Amino acid sequence: MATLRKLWRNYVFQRLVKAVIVIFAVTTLTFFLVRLMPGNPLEVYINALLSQGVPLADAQAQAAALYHVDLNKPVMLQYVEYLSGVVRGNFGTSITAVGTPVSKLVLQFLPWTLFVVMVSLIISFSVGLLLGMVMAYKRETWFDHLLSAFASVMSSVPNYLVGMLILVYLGVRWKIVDTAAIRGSHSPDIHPGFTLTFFLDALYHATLPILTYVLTTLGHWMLVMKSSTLSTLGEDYVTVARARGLTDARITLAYVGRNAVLPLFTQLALSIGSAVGGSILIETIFTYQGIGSQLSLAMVGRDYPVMQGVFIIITASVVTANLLADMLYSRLDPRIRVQGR
Amino acid sequence: MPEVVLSVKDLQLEYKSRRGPVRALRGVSFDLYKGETLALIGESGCGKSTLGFSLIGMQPGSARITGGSVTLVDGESRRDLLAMSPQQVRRVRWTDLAMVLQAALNAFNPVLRIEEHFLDTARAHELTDRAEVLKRARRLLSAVQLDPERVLPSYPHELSGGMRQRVLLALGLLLQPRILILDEPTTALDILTQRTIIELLKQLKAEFGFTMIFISHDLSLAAELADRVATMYAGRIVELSDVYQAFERPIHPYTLGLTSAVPTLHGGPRKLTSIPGSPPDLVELAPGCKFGARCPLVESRCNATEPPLQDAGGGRLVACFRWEKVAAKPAGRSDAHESD
Amino acid sequence: MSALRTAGSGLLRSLKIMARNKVGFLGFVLVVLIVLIAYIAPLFVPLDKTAHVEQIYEGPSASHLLGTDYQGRDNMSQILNGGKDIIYVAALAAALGVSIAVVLGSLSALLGGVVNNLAVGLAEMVLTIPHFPLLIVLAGFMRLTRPTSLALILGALSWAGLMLAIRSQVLSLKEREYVQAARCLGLPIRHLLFQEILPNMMSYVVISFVLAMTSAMYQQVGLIFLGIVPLASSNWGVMISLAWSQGAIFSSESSWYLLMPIAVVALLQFSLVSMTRSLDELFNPRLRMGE
Repeated sequence: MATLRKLWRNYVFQRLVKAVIVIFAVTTLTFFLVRLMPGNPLEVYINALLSQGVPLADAQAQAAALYHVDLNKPVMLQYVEYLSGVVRGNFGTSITAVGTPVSKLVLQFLPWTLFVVMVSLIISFSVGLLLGMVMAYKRETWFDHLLSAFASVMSSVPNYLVGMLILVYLGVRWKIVDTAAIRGSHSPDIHPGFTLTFFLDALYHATLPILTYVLTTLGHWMLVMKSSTLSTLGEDYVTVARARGLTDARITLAYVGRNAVLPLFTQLALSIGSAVGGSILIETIFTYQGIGSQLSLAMVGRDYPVMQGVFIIITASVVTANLLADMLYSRLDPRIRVQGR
Repeated sequence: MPEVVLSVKDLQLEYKSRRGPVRALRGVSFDLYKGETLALIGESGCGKSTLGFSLIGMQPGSARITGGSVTLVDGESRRDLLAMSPQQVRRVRWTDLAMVLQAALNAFNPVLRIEEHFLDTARAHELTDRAEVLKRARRLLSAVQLDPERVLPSYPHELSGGMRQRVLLALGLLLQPRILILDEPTTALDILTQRTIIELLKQLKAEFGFTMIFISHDLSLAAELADRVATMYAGRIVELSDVYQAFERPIHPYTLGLTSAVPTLHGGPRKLTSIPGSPPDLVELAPGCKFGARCPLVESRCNATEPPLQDAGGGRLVACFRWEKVAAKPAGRSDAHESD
Repeated sequence: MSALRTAGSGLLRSLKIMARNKVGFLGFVLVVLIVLIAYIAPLFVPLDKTAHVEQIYEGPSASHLLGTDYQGRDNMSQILNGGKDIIYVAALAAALGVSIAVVLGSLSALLGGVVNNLAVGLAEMVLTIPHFPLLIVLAGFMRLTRPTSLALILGALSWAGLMLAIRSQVLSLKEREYVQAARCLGLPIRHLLFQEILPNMMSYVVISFVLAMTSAMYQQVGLIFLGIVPLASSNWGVMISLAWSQGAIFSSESSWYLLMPIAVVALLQFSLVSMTRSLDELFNPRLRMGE
């Protein structure tokens, strides 16, 4: 019991447990959503089959196969079956893409979304960090005012609207980008694999979504870093560092920068969540085949198994990404780590 | 003739404010002798901290030095700190002159271990032998009565406030500075920690033999630690005496006022007086002596010309026309206005 | 009459304070203008619903100031009529979210114990689950045809972040003397909440309301764009959605149908965010000190 309590004190362990709970909660939510909401797709499906003359038992069997659920058993048992399916990676099969297991669809499309989100995040975070710091050091100059204005404007406009504007202006109006060629996540003639050509092609197709994300999230990182740097500059240890005769370079890097950047990591989790959430819209606009557009398509096609599975996976990815961000944060800030020695 | 290690002559500094330039230092002059402890005493706003920071070239950004010199004397070499480039000044900090901000609650970088602080400091001054630095660090940490093996690998937040104070002192002595400047060494400390720090300072001084300036508003601290006391008022030194004379027979009305305001343990209860009024506006300065409005001995010539810092015999300096009159009063009695 | 006058002078004073931040004040003015136009203009400019096949996708002209859409209907009238629903849903969703957050946050701070643990756990969970996908899933299983139902769903998801913040604010205010005094007097929780604690958090709550509105608008327009929420008639979101699916981006005349609603929505979002700076000035007046 004592070891368990000690383990609990570890910040990362806490987050891990919470992450598992969230995923569990989401799975439960989707399961009961399907069964309890008005217009239960299970019943709808069965009724549709019944109207085609399929006997009830067969209809129920087909529904069970599709949703990976057996209707004759009591609800709780079905629930447990569903859960065990999920844990093993079985989310049922798609309605629209007949016969394709949901997990296969997910594995096919998830990496593309993660690719875009991660690249955008890295670019936006690092550029925003640097600019924010410069803005703090050059406070109240034209540089600061200009960039602050840019930051406020860009972060308040919805990202999908920016995406549309990018497509309209860069693609259609000014013809900087070939809209036909850049659609989709990769070119049809290039064979997927770990080759440079493939990677570059993927990058080419991801350019517009990445540009949209970066433009709309850059401002936030800039402003947060600026404010964090300003408050760090006022800390005693910076003054003492100067009095100790440390070089400006060392102070900027290890005393100001290293500390100013810490609060940003607490926001990393939030930003991943909103990026993945927004991917549904951004991918639709740029016809980029990632998990987001899959959810949207499943929605339109009333493909409930896919919707459920994709939603659980999206949540799981966000939760995992948050966990990684938290772990990173605890590595960087010694005050957060294991309490006590 | 005692050896001079630091010579400040007519230092003047002003900084910008919305209402106009604030003349925070208006001609500060003193010599610092090797091995002594000089106390700079004054109320808030008199310029004592500004003076301390100016000595290491860290006056606030909007401040400009408008006159005077700060000269480091080392045997034959004389170096004017005000004439140095920023790079040169940086090298002087912590090596020749170490200003230790004892009042700093967060003197350490929270993401770096204590030993990294020592190594950082050493590296900034081209001392890259890691083993040597840590050896010195251990010796210094022991000297301030801390366990080096416990302290060095720790992060700042793992140490108590009192421990951090002592680590900062140890760090201050890392590069064997000739002059240690302590800014408010006992402010914000509880009385027991104050006692520890005072005793520690005495020990360290005896052991390492540096010269010390400490800046404070606490007169009793001067009584404990100082050899000489300089009282500052409105951006200038108004009296510079040895510690006993400053307490027993002050020669400036301000110092007299300060000593009268402190209750004593010995003798019967006596009437405590405070100095009426408040410090002058450093933007719009009235002519004449700046203490005039609060001085019980003020007369017309005081309000006409500002008294210069003059020799009062026995190594004492004072900026008052009527200092002999002040000297005639025994300490502890600064009663109401007197006429001649 | 005198009550009106004091209200009026109070308003004038508030406006002056807000004007200290120029960008913020501009935002405030724009928000007021847009909201007024969205609600008043429809009374004067009826929605053009008739299809004129010969006028499809025309650019701006004297008779159609902002051009026409894919069915030849006037864009301007659609813009003027298109704000009501959107603003209503955003405001209602924000109000709901903020109310839940305030009540739940304060209660969990004041009551502590099980209530606190449950509420915080729930909030953290809601925060971790990505909102937009959840909305899509919920919209898939429910029928959200009426603006009010949409607003309720949006509000039901938005309270989590604010609730945690309010909870920590209340926790710190709880220790202040005047609250302790009230508790000693045996005043009920209701009194503590509304008379002692909330007035000190006004600034935070109002600004959060405005930001919640921007968030609700983001989600709303997004859902409409995807066609997931079939709201009636033609509001700005519907315009964007139809413009996109009907190929309005391909010519410069037709793109007015797309760009105008985008511009209005973007402008409103930006103005709301800027306005918070003036609101901050109003609630936390900055003392102008010399530098």
